[in-house]
Amino acid sequence: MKIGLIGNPNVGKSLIFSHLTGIGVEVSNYPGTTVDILSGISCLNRLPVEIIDLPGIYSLDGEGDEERLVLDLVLKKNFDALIVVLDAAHLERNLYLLLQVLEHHLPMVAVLNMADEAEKQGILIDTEELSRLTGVPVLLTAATIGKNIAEIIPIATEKASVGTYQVAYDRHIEGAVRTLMRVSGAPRVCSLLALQGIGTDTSLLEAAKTIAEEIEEEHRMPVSSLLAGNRHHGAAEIYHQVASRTQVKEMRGVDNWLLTPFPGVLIMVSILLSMLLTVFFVGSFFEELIVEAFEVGAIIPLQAANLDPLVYALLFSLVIAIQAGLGIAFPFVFTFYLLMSIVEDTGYMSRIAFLADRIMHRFGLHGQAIIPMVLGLGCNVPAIMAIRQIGTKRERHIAAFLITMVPCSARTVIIAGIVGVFVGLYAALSIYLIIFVLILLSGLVLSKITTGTQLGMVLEVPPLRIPSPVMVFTRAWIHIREFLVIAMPLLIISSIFLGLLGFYGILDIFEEITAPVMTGILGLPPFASTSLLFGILRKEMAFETLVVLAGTANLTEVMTQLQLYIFALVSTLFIPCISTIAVLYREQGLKTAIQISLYTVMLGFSVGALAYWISTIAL
Amino acid sequence: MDIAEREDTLLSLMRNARMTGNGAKHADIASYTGFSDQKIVSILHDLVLSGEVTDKGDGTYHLSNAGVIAAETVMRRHNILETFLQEMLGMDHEDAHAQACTMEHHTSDDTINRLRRFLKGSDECPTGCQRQRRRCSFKSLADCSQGDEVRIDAIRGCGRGGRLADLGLVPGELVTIKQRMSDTLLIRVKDCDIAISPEVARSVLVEVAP
Repeated sequence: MKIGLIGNPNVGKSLIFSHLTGIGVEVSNYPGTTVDILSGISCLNRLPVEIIDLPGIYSLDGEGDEERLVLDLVLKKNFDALIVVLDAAHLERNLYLLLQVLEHHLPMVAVLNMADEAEKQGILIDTEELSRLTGVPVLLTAATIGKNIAEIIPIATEKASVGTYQVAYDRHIEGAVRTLMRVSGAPRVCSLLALQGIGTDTSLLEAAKTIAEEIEEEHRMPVSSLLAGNRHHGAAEIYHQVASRTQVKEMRGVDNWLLTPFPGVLIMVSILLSMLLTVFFVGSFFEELIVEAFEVGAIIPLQAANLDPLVYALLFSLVIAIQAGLGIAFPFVFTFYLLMSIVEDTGYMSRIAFLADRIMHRFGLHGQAIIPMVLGLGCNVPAIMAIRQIGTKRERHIAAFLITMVPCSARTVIIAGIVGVFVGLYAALSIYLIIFVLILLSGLVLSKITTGTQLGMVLEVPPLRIPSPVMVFTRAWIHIREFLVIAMPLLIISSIFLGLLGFYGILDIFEEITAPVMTGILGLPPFASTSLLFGILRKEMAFETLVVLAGTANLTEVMTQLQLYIFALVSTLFIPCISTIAVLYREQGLKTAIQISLYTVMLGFSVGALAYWISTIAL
Repeated sequence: MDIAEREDTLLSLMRNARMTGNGAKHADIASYTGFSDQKIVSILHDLVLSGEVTDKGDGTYHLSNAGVIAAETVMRRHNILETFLQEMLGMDHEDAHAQACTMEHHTSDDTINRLRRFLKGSDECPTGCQRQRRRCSFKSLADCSQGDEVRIDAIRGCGRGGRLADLGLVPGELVTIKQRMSDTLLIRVKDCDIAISPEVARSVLVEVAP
């Protein structure tokens, strides 16, 4: 038995899913796309029921990856039953999706979630009437307080039924559908989709195209808008029959503060800053513990074991790769995602997008692009994966450039560990400032030179909600797992590769070759080139390697404060880490990945050289 | 007396007054409208009672002020309908006139106002809106201010049209502008809040208040 959960974003679908399946959730990538699908197992009468959480969508015939994917799965009749999760507090808009799903004639159940929220707003819903009108069982639930959740699976497995409601479309559309059905024998829903140019049957699509053109000529409107209008009309009719509303005074007190230029922007900046500070303090505390544990538990015994030099070099590389991965991933990235999930689940994220829309337009982006940029503060890898949501090729291209420049938590380690400790707090902050200005400038230039169209943001702003701790943890866990899966293997392979290079003395040659650049242009000691090279693995390894090569943790003994400052500046700006390059290649293609790498190398060196040049003049 | 009889009588009284400057005898009105003498007498009697026509006692009838206003409304309806039929649908003048004569009695004020706006709009931007946005009489969401409640007229162009339609932004839907921050809008549609960029707001045309 396989059951799919389908619904709009922000309707509490994921919370229902986690209530139904508990732990042991599996994330899978659907072949050909990059959309994540969660699946889990629930038990009913000792029989396993597989539950699939489909991505949140507004419509089945949209253009997004998510919508295409869900439509594909529904068309293939992949599910024995569907659970359509609707938001009872915003029922009218949600019914639109239900009406669309009904057209597919699959056994299904409608779950009206957020019953508590609807009640607070004075909305009463006659579920029996809704069930009578649509022909599918209707269940009122409230996932946040666990109301009626236990009944979902029994009803879905035993009572799910094919709906009877049919949207009354415009007579031209109905005529066209009848013609297509008669000519090709395709079911009604396929004919409707074909009219919008969706489907695989070429002869049906061709026939539909001619008819659709005629209809568009007649109505001066695309077929999809006609269909949408008719469906919304149907949804509104149903809604007025099943829902009654007692007037309750509207509560949007907090939003009055959050969404205005003042103090909204101020609140946003302070929330983001305090997030960063929390990540930094909590992260560095746990990082020290983990790094120390590795030091004592693995590296010291390894050094003491008296192994063959080659084996030692390999094992050492392996251990430091894992140490770096875990030392960063868990403390910094996990804390960051924990906070991030809170921001997302409260609904504050879309408010940030609203507030930032204007400034992002300056860079040829729009408000939604702020979400991956903020994510980039944790780690660039998932941030670049999040770019796909933000529209056109042009917007993705610009965002990819800017995100790779956003200082991730690993770069925070360098800035804090080198500059913050040995030079001073203000110096550390000045590096952030320099990076920030460079991001702004790059954005301005990129928006001028990148070709393509700009579409703008259309983003739902859900009501503010108190997040559920379970959901926050699950989401953070899924993020971190994604991160480990992508980053870890690369990290280990490249660490071993560099270890071998060092073992065969190639690194020494490299240092010799780059020495003129290092000392002449950047004013750094020759061994800095090796640590910059290691920085490509994971940014903070630049710092760790520097400590190893310098032979002391007290870096001021071997380098001046100026050298440390320039080193930190160069290594934070310099080329993205190997995992970021890999994900850039996967998401944006080889060309963009190379462009970005070259651009950042150039930027790092020129800014470093400039800093050194200014200092030689000034001092 | 039905609407058509009343309005035709008023119109013919007005035409007569414009041409001759005097009141009309009921025989004149009968020849204009094609009603029988008896019918005209009873219609005129009713109109005198309702105060739209005054009987001078010398067998001539005049429009009162209320009558003039009523007649002018009908006349305006007639003209708009005739223009629409002739200019936009390309009908002959004779046919357009005859059709307008029967349609004028049963067309609501709302329809007339919309037709008028339609005619006006198409006069001003004959080449479509993209090129001459400034001069066009259409208004988009981007031109609305905070707190406005407007009805969507049309969604222009491509791009985000599909997503907008899925979120409930379809022609005829009511939209409230909840918050405006520079040009970015937070709108409420079907009880849901949606943030949209300026370029998206410009693609949503809303009805201009009459």
